[in-house]
Amino acid sequence: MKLNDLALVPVRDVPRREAVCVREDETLIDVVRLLEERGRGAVVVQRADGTLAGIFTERDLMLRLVHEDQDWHRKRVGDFMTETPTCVSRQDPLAHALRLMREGGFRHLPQVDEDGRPVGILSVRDLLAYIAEHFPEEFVNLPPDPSREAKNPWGG
Amino acid sequence: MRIQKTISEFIAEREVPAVAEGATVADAVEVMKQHESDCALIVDDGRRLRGIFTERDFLNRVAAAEKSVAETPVAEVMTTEPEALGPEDGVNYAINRMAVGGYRNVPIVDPEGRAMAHLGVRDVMLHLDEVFGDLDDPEDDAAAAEWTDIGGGG
Repeated sequence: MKLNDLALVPVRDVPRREAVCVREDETLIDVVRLLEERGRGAVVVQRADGTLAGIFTERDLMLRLVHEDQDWHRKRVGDFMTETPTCVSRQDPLAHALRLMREGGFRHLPQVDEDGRPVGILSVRDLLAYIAEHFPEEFVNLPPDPSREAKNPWGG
Repeated sequence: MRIQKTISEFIAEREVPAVAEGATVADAVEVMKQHESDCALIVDDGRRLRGIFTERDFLNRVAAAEKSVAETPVAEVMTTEPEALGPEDGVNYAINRMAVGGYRNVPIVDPEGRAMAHLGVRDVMLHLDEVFGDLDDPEDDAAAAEWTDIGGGG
């Protein structure tokens, strides 16, 4: 694959894990336990009608809460999430998603359908893994330790 | 693809979000906030790297484990002996660690093992965005070509 073909690949073709979804009134401690259990760093928060309400990430957990006591445990995730997060749609090209992540400093972009319902979440890891997979000579097939790489064209 | 930059080009003039081994989780979080960093590097008295503490560690090992931020030593919840790279290594090694290993931060150490900086996934995104951005330049055929025709042949 050529680089500019890769840049145009639609988001729907990038393999990614299913989004972890919760309702706005879920308690923070339950969200934290769910994230830990699933090994994930972000949940998509849905309204009662199933549309996207926001996103809550491990960064929000660390920065937006007072952790000195355990009062935060029973608070609602809806009060600490990022509302109306930047999203991608199925047909957006990979390069567009990369730019949104870079400009906003985001590591996760919810993917929504035409009705505003979350259908997935694209993480920076998904994007990097996809790019690396298509350029294995650049990223994957490297010597295990950079110091073992030949420093001049004759090796040795 | 032109991934020829070295890590040193990304980390110049950057302060290390370093905390001492004896610090608490609350201290580490404060340093991460000050540096707007998603990790802290834990260093000994000689500034040698002992571990890394990330937002994911905070989620899994502090919040989910219901540990006290003020009383828990960061050394108890950090990742010890993280794989580090040097400033002269290519940034493609960092991308490899992130894409294949799933790390979002790679500590950068000098030859004596002293913490110099960390390279984050945001740095890598910036770089890849530049690489993709170059594709818009019609003068730049090299990005589009799978090989370069230098003539000759038959």
